[in-house]
Formats: sequence, structure tokens, C-alpha cells
Amino acid sequence: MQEFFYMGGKGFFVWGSYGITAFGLILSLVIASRRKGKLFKEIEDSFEE
Amino acid sequence: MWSFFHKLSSPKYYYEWSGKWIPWLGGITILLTALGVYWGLVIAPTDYQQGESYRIIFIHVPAAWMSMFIYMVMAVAGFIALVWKTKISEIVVSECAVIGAVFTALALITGMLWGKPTWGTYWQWDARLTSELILLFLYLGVISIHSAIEDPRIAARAASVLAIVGIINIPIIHYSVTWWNSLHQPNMELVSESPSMHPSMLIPLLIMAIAFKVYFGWLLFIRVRNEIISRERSTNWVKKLILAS
Repeated sequence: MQEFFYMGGKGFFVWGSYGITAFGLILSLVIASRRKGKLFKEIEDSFEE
Repeated sequence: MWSFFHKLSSPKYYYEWSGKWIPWLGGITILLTALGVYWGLVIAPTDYQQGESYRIIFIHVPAAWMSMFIYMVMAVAGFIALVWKTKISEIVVSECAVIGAVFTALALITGMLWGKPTWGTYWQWDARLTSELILLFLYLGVISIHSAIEDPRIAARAASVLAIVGIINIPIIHYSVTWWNSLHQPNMELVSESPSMHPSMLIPLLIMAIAFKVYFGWLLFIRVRNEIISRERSTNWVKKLILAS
């Protein structure tokens, strides 16, 4: 298992690449989903005014 | 078929139609990504020359393909926006720019992380790397136009022109390794009698490429739907939709 994470001494580069990619793709989805929630709330609040 | 595209240009129809696809695209993205990452990191054998660092290509290459693919989608949407002036195509241009910029940045960062152990440097002003960086600037230019111009319809027209003009960079990126002496390796021959990759490495690469394409569709639908809601907030159908939720 340790060998797997070590990646022949290239662990920083391999895991760094996968980590940054996962972060970028998940963050993009989270931002888009949160915007939907905010928009719905904003429009709903405008009905009450 | 034309009547379907005609219907798709209606924001209400597009909103309802894309909503049916979102759960499917999300599920397929998660499944394919899990399979591709597992295959790429665990099953695929170690490369005899590059060792383990070659495993970065399973995300770097699909991200680079996506950066060019999304630009072409954006340019086609830009052309439709200029000729037929449909709201949906205008929204697609602005949303593609954001997603494309993310994929281009990821292609550049993962490329740098692959370059250090392979070439001994993170960056080189090489034709392939520089043209990919220009692609990122083109995406940022389209995003800036949308932020700088208040009227979204005028912004869409200006951004569409930039998207169409910038398409010249796509063949430059693709053929940069052929036209100039490059540190970057030549384009991979995937469809030939002797593909340049062994199937044990080629299959996870293609799985990840499909996963990224489906992810793009998933995120694009979510973002376009958000923008539709934002622009159509004063219409009755959006009011009904909000009240029903």
C-alpha cells in the first residue's frame, strides 16, 4: 500500500495532478449547484417584497 | 430534426429538456471516472521509460482534448448566436468559456506536473505549451467581455466574435508539435493498425476522455439552466417553477 502512494518516488506529481483535477472539477459543480440555490431564494424573496 | 433544434432554442423547453438528462449525466460521470481512475492508477502497468509519472496522462490528455473540444462548441454556439440570435446559444457561449478555462488550466497544471519528472522542468516556452496558454487567455477574454458589458445580449455578440476568431488557435495547438521543433511528444495515433499506446494504457485513457466529455455536458446543463432562471426571472413560467419548488 505504501508503495502505491509512493508511486516510485513520483507521488507528489501523480497525486498532485489527480488532487488538483478532482478539486477543480468538484468545485465547479459545487459553485454551479450553490448558484441555483441562491437564485431560487433571491427570486422567491422578490415575491414577498 | 430541425424542429427539435428550433424547440431547443426556447429557454423554457431547454430548461425542461436538460433537466431530464442531468441525473443520468451525473451518474455516468461518476461511474466512468471511478473506473478510469482505478484502471489508470491500479490496473495499468508501469511505463518502462517514464515509470509511474506517466499515469498523469490519464487526466492530462483528456483535459487537453476537452480544452480544445469546448472551444469548438463555444465557437459553434457563437456562430449560431450571431446568425440566429437565440438566447440559449448566447448563454452556451458564456458558460462554455468558464468550463473551458477550468479544463485548460487543469491541462496546463497537470502538464507542468508531468513535465518536471519527465523533462526536468515545469515550463518551457515551447509551441504546444505556449499555444495552450494562449487558449486559456482566449477563454479569459470571453469571460472578461461578459463581465465588462452590462447588457448580456451585446456582451454575447462581442464574445461570439472573439470565440469565432480565436478558433484559429485550435489547429495551431494540434499541429504545433508537427510544425515546430517541440519538447512535447508527437500527437498520439489512436486509430491506426499500430496505435502508439498499448491497449492496457489506451483503454483507461479513452474511458477518462469519455468521462470528461459527459462531465462537461453535466456541468454545462446545470450552468445554462441557472443562467436561464436568472435571465427569465420575470416570466410566468419561472415564477410558477419557483413557487412549485
